[in-house]
Amino acid sequence: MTATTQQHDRFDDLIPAEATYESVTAEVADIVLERPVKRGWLVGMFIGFVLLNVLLVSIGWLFAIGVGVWGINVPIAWGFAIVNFVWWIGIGHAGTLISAILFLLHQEWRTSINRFAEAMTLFAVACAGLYPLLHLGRPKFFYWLVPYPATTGVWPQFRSPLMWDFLAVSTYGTVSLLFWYLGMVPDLATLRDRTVGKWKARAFGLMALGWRNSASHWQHYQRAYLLLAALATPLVVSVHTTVSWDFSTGIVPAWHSTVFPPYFVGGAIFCGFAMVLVIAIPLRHFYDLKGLITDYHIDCMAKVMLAAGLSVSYGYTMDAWGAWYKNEPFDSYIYTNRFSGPYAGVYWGLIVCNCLIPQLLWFPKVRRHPLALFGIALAINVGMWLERFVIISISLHRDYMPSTWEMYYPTVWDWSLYAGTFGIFVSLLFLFLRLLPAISMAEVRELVHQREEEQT
Amino acid sequence: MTRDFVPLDLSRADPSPAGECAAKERGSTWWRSLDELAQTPEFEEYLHREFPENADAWLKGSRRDFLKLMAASFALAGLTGCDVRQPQEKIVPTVKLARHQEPGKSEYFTTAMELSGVASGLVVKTQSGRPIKVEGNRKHPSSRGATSIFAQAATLDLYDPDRLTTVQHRGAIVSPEEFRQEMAALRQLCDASQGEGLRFLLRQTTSPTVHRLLNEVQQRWPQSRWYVYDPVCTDAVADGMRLAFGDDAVSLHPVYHFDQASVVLSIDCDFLAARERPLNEIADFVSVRRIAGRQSEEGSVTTPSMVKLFHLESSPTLTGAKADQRLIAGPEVMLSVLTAVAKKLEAIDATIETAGDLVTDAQTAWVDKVVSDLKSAADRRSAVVAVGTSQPPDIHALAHAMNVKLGAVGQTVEFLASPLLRTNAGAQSDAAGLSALVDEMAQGSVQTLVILDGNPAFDAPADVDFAQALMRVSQSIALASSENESTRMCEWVVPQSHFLESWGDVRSVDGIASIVQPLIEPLYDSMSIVELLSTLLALDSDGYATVRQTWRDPLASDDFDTAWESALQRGVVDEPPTDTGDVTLVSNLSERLNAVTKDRSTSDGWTVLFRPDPTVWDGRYANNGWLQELPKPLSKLTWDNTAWISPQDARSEGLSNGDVVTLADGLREIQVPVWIMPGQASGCLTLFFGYGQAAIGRVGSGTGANVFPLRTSDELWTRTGIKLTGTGKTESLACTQHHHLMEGRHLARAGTLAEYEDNPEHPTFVYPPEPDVEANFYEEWSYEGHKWGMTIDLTACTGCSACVIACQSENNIPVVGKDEVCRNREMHWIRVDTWFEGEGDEPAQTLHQPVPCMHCEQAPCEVVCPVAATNHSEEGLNQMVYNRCVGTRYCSNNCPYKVRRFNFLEFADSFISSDSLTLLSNPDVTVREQGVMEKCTYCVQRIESARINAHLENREIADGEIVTACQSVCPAQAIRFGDLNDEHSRVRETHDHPLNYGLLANLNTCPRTTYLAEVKNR
Repeated sequence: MTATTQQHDRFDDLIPAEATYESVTAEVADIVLERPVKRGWLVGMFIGFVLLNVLLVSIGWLFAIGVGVWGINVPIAWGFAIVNFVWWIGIGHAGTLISAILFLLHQEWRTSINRFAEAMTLFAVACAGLYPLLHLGRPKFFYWLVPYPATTGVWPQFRSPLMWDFLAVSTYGTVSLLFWYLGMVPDLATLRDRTVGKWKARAFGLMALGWRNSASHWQHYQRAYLLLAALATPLVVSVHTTVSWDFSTGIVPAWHSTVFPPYFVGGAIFCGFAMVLVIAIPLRHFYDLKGLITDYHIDCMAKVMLAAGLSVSYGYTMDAWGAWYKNEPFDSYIYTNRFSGPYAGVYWGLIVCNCLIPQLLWFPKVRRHPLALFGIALAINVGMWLERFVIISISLHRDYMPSTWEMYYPTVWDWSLYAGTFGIFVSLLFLFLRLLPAISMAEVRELVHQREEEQT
Repeated sequence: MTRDFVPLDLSRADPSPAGECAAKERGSTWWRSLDELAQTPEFEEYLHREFPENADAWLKGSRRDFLKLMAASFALAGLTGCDVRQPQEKIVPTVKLARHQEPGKSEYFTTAMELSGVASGLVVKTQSGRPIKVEGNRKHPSSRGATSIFAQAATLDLYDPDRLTTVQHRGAIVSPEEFRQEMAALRQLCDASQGEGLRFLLRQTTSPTVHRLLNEVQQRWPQSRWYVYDPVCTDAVADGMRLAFGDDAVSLHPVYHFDQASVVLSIDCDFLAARERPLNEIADFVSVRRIAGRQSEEGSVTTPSMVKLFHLESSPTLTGAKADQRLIAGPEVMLSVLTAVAKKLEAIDATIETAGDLVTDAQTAWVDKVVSDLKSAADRRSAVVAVGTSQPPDIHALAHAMNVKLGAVGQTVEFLASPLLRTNAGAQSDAAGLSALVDEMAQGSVQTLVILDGNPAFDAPADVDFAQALMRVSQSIALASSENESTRMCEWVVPQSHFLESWGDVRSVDGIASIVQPLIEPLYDSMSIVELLSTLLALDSDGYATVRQTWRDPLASDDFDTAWESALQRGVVDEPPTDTGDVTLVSNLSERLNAVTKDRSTSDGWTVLFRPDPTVWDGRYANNGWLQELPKPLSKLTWDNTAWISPQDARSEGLSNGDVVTLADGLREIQVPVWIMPGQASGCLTLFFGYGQAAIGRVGSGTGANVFPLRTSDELWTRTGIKLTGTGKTESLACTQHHHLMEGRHLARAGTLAEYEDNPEHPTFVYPPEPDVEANFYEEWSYEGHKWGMTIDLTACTGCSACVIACQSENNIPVVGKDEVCRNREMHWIRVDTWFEGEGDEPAQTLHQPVPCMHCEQAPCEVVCPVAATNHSEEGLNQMVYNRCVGTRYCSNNCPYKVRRFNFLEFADSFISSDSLTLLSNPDVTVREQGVMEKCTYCVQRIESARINAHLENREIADGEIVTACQSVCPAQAIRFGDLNDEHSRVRETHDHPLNYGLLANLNTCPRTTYLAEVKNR
């Protein structure tokens, strides 16, 4: 086979053969500008809106009554709030990973999925960011975690991992937002230019920051994008590492483990990619974007998921092995309890979802079967939620002193707040699909351009 | 728009009424003038308005305004405090005579209380005229500085918003004057009829004044009678005395001196529970029991001898848990076992018919051990057999015979005149007296019944239908502190004064009298028993004068006032000691015992044991939230009573915890949830009475199940032939400890005396093989100055839980309610863990471990707090800055001991739900708001107060000057607190003892609170 055919094949997987600048632009921009509001979108938006109201009620009740509305207690002082926080923040990993790390690694298949993956990241971080605030006993004083020069002269306690966590998540959120927005500027300009409405044009014009597609713009843009990608890359690793420190610096038997940082990052990528697939598969189906989000794309994502899944399984094994190897009653009991305690079902559920089911991804047919992949991705999301529940709440329920061993039963308010954050996620996602270019037109056009160059 | 709000400033708000109030303070008649002042309309309005003028401005105002307003309402709260008055009579503080009150300064007064006829001396702390904390009176022989949980909870009872506040006639509120007129009418009637049909019903009491007044009633109206009934009655003790020593001995009762003992055989005598029995029994026992810390107690350093405790019981008790050799047996087997012991000791002749034979090897072996140990101790006259009040008379008589044989009488046991008031109606026992009274009532021959405290309609035995008979009484008068089943049926209901607000007197079991001194004017229009009786007799109705009158003769010194003041100041009346009663065993004891034993019928079915509830007692404390929420010893249940069932019985019946069963005796039935209790005798159920009241108040009404319907007057403590059937229903029970096995972790450490003596410098059981403490990167902090530390002696601790309530009272710890306890959100800063060792059915060992904050030097909680709300003092206190806490709760997660408590909801406000409860709080301790973490502070307010005092007197803080609330209350003196840098401190002695170990110390937390491993004399 000649190099040219290989090249040709590569682009074939990424963009349709007939794709032109115009067709790519039209396909993406029309979703925002031309196509009418479909019933499917309304249904989705309605669900999101209802859940959003559930969120508001849950938060209202929480603020009125206190965190006691949840099932938390002593010893299980962290329940759904922290479980959900870690879960959402994990989901919020895939976007930046796809955009930044894959960008730096010149993985071209990222181009058509990076935009909504980044958007998803932002929305997930928004959901996640709510929890540390809401879970406080006195949320009105959340700003005491901010290192500002208070007149009291009291600073936050910098030894606390919660402090690090606060900084890591807020940094990550900020950089992800900038990265996402910066990447969108050329596309916003495209929309500004294509739209006919005066107000739409003004809005997109404002957001496009005066982009005129000039060579110097592109030069600055590329440099800034590269720099932000370089900046975001360590953050992808650092944010979940820091989240894992929330636990691994603690003295709780199952938390105090050095395997946590890599295992958490692995888990985050795992569940982040699963969430990208959960969104991408319906998206390309309903918006008929099979040409841009190809089978090759989802195949690539499945492979990443499989690799991340294996690293997570490795983490589970090392964790258990470490507990056994330490030969210490507290750590080894944690695993006895996970295997056969009152929450054993949750533990085995996570093993099935995170370790066994993803093994199906070894088969190329499964990887390219959208429905199967959708199911697996959902299972992984569930499994990763269970994993966080196991690590956080189940570790707490039986720690050092058996006299304090208790059970944790989530209340309706635990569930409603969780459902409510889906309200934020779903609403923002549907608004994003309607109002902003879900796929990076500029980058896909770049692919078209590259293909033309290479073909000639 | 914000309006300018002027905060209430007492110094500036002149000429506001408050200013006048303060100005008059210097005058000697200050309180009276406040009274006068309070009459003025502006002051009235000022007092009763919840918020000051412009208070509604906050709705429009800023947060700053709101804070100002809060400050103002605190000031107003102080002003309401002005309305709380100390009695106008001269009451005498124990420490020094204070001519005037210094605001913010605590004063301490002695007083005394009694529970089911057992007195204990108290010292009560008052601040601004309101009693806020109860301590034991060190000078009182039976409390010795310690108190029971009930004394600790007395302040909450005093301020209970559900107390009766007004005199009621047929349900309508009337003035106290009307009741006095009614009393005058009754007096005239009785004068005419010689008191025909006048009956009094009292609870067990030792009060000399009540005794005197009743005698006066009797003299004036010879046809009147008084009766005594208490659900926790001591009839069996009296009957046992009669059985063993003849009729003359019935007025005596045994008083044990465990400090003289080397071997104790306890027959269901729960003297370590610190409930109704005199607390000095614990102190006495522990004084010959403890290993560590004897030097400072006794000045001896020799290897201590250790008392050995044998315990025989059907249902687990704290004493049984402490026992070196415990035998669990049903009531019938207990009799057989005891008869076997008595025979082998030759305390009774062999002709006695044993109720049954010993069936198991364990029983035989136990009997042999008991006999040989008792015999060897008898040589030194240091053996004693103690019997619990709930045991039948023949067991008491057997024990008396053994004590006589062992030479215990006059040494380890004394027979003293019982201070109890007994029924004067010629009845054999109190229970029989009650039956006789109810018969009279049912016949309609009772004209006037005066119920002086108590709730007989609820707690009378089921075969005595008191409630029904009460309907036939033409005039019924109830003196009661809260509404109850009896007051609902009485014509007149008179609120009863709390003992902290009325004059009275009590006598301890060894006959030492104390004056009950009020610390506060009655909060409501209430009367004490003394006041009601003297009103009836048209004596000086003033309680003060009446009580003084009683003591005028006994204190017949030249200067009565001085003697009186001294009695008040010391809390103990200086009287010659009670004579020891002379007793000789009846010659035909065996025949008598045979007769009693033969009478006892046995029937199929379950044996039910009745016991007072360990926290709400006979029901009188059911409306006390502190006691309701106090985990009951061993079961750790709160807010409910249960039927204890043995694990093997539960298996065979297919029952699990909380399953509701029906218990029936053929006539009546009750429904009660079961609780599986390891160590419960098979075939026996234990029912705790006191729960299931309908009317007592918002806290207690409707909690638990009423078990009185199964209790009958001839089988008060043990009933046989009860049928048990499941109902299929399950009740959720609020338990604070579900897991009682240590899972191989070395948490509470225990060993035997032999093991200890084997290597007293390094006892192996104190240092189990554990992973090494990980090395520390950092240089250790050197604590210069003070280094506060605490030791808890597990050998001494009996698990009575008085520390829990003391801490709650001292530190303003809220009550959270059953639902929240079910969600594991109880707030106690110190908890008592109960550990079982060995097989589940009959634990080989039961250990108690109080767990407060360990004040770790390397505290895991401190590093994880993002806002530095918990940090370390330079004296080693792990501090909690409440108003810095944002409530991440990470500190609690990271606490290996789980001693941190979180205000998940607004607990404090909902607990302090009424005006009277605001008076309860200790002003030295912050009340915590929702969303804030809290925990044991080592009573930092007491440390600081000692520091201030020392500073003012320009000296160092002395050892023993700081006493934490838990330490102070402990009847076993198991807790020591002090400066570990002081080589001669008491805490240093125990801290350096080889038995000392740190809980989970291999986590490198360096706990400041350490434990002394339990040593048992097996």
